[in-house]
Amino acid sequence: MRFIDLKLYNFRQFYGETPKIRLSHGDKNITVFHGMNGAGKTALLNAFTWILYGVFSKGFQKENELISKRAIAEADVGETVECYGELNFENAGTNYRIKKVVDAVVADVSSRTKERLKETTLQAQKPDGQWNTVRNIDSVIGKILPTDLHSYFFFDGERVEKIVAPSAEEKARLANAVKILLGVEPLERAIKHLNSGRKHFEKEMGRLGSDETKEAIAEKIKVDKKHESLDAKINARVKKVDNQRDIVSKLNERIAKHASVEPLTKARDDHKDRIERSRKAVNELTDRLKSVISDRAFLLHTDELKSKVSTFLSELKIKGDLPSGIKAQFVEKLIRKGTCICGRSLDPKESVEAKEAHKTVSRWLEIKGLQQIEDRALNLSANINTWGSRNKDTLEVINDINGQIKEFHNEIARSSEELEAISKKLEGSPLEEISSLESKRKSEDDLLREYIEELGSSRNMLELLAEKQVEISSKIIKLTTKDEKQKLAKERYENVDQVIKATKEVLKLMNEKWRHSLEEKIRGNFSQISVKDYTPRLNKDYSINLYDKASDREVAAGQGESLVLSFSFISSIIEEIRKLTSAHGGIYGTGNSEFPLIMDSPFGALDDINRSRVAAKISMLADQVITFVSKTQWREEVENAMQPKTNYSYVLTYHSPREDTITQDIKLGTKTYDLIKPSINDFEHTEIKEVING
Amino acid sequence: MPEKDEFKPIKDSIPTVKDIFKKVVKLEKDNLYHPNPNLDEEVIKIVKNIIK
Repeated sequence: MRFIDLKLYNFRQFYGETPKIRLSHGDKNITVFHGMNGAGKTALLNAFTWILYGVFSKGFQKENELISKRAIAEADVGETVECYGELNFENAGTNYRIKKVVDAVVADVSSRTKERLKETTLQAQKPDGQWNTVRNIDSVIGKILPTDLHSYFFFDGERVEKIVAPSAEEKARLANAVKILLGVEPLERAIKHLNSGRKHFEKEMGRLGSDETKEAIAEKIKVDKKHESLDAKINARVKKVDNQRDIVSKLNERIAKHASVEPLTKARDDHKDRIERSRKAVNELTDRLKSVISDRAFLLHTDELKSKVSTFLSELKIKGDLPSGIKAQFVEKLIRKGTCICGRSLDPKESVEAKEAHKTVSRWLEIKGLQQIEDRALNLSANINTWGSRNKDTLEVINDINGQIKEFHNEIARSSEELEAISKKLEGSPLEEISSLESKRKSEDDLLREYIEELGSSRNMLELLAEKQVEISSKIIKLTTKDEKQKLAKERYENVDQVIKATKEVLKLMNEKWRHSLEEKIRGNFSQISVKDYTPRLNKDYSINLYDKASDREVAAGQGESLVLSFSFISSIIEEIRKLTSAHGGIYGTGNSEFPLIMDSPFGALDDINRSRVAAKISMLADQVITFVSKTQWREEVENAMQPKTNYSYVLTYHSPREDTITQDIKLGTKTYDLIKPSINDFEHTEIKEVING
Repeated sequence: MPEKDEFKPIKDSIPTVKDIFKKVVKLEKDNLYHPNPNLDEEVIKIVKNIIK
């Protein structure tokens, strides 16, 4: 998606019709809006989100009063006043125009009836230049730039979203939005519809098939239903767990606000951290243990086999079926030399005895594959002899891993006891608020554990049902039939079953690969901007945690880091989508390889170093960058970094109705522009002026 | 290390499975922006046309 231009009419401070605000793209891809506080920078940012999604940022107030106050005041009582926003943009080679209109009727001189959304229209331009109206506006816009990711593409730097600790609801929305951008939706939908197809052919087989087939299919349908209903329950339980986690976390935050219990809450965080790390270590060690057991544990049960193999090899040697370690080359050497190691002659011409001896020794060479058999027998003997020591090694490794697991379990138990003690201390606090908050937190935490256990057992049950499904499916596929129609239905069933399995596998691989690659990119981008030695980690639900590299401990992200993380996250997503689109344009996603980034006060929360680094990288963050800055934020280092990449820039001149208005201006290039000047009437309004040779 | 090919499970499949996959995914992409209540039937039709 690339924005071309924006026009507003009577939208908030922007009284009347603004000029067409052209937006930069290409090599010089930055558009800058200069304005003082209150001039309409946040209103402009919100004009974009309102037109596209009908939503506003958290900092935008009185969202039901969009129509300019001056326009209302100048209208007659009973007159209808309109306000609109119109945005032209291009996506995947098609030009679009979206317009949103609200109106209100003027009730008396200074008030209006409630504003109502009059219409939203989206048009797409056909190759012949004609404009066609597009239906399903939300769906089309949502696919181009997902609604749930809009706060990352359009963001208010002073109220940056907490992507480090999003709520359960935000996490789910984030994961969904990323999925849309990744373009996996057609694959997920394909699985859904193929499942219905499989059921259709299943029924057909049941109708046409033998009693055995009918029975197997009836069983499969029963298991499918159970699986479906449990799956729905699990989805509901995941939400329940996430919500409960939010409740506990908010109570924790409220308790932590009390300075008097800071040492206790800090100790609690430490112990929680220890438990978390120990659990992670236990999981990793358990995986290692599984791998050792599957690779080497068979050795522990081979004593009997070992003695059987040794006896067998010895018997072969005794019978003469195997030479006792005599190498073929050695035999050849003896024959060439004409003397055996026992001193007898091996020259067949010398005597009858020597001829016989030569025959016996030569026969050893005639046995087919003697060399290989001999080598294998020798190798097997050598290997068997090492089994004893490898057995010992395997036992030592298993014991060592089990010992470590035990130690981590002890650590978990110790920290859990400490947590219990801390909780008791907090509950016994003389401050009633703390005591009651802790009691509440404790009971909510117990509930959380209960929910997690419920979820775990449901997931186990679901796995068992899935195994049962696979088992019955292969049973159905194995059933033989002579009836041609049934054979055909079976073949169709089998093919659909395979497509579903392969598509699920593709989805899994895509997700793993993409998440890993995205994490690497976020780390790279974050380290290029941030001066702190932190590293971000991307979780499975696409939320991010920040870790201190030296201690490998999680750290709380301040507003500055959150902002840098936001930049890193969104620019990494953009880079990855571009990579995916160019690599797999046919299968992946939206065909959208251009992305805008619209930022209000992007430098507000940054310190000097981060500000310079962000300014230097800003044009690379996205294909198109639109930014709103105040005079104080437009510092020399920011200007120097951004100016060469800026095509269009604008000044928002605010006409203030206040009598004590102090005029302000800004020098851009060789010209000076008004930022604040007195209004000629009682109303505020803002003019937008393009900066010439700015 | 070479990058893992996420489409390998499809590439390794028999030709009819590949064909169904391609046609069904195209159908889903074509209908992504327009709700179509008949996609179940469309998918069945694709399978029947490929495996006759």
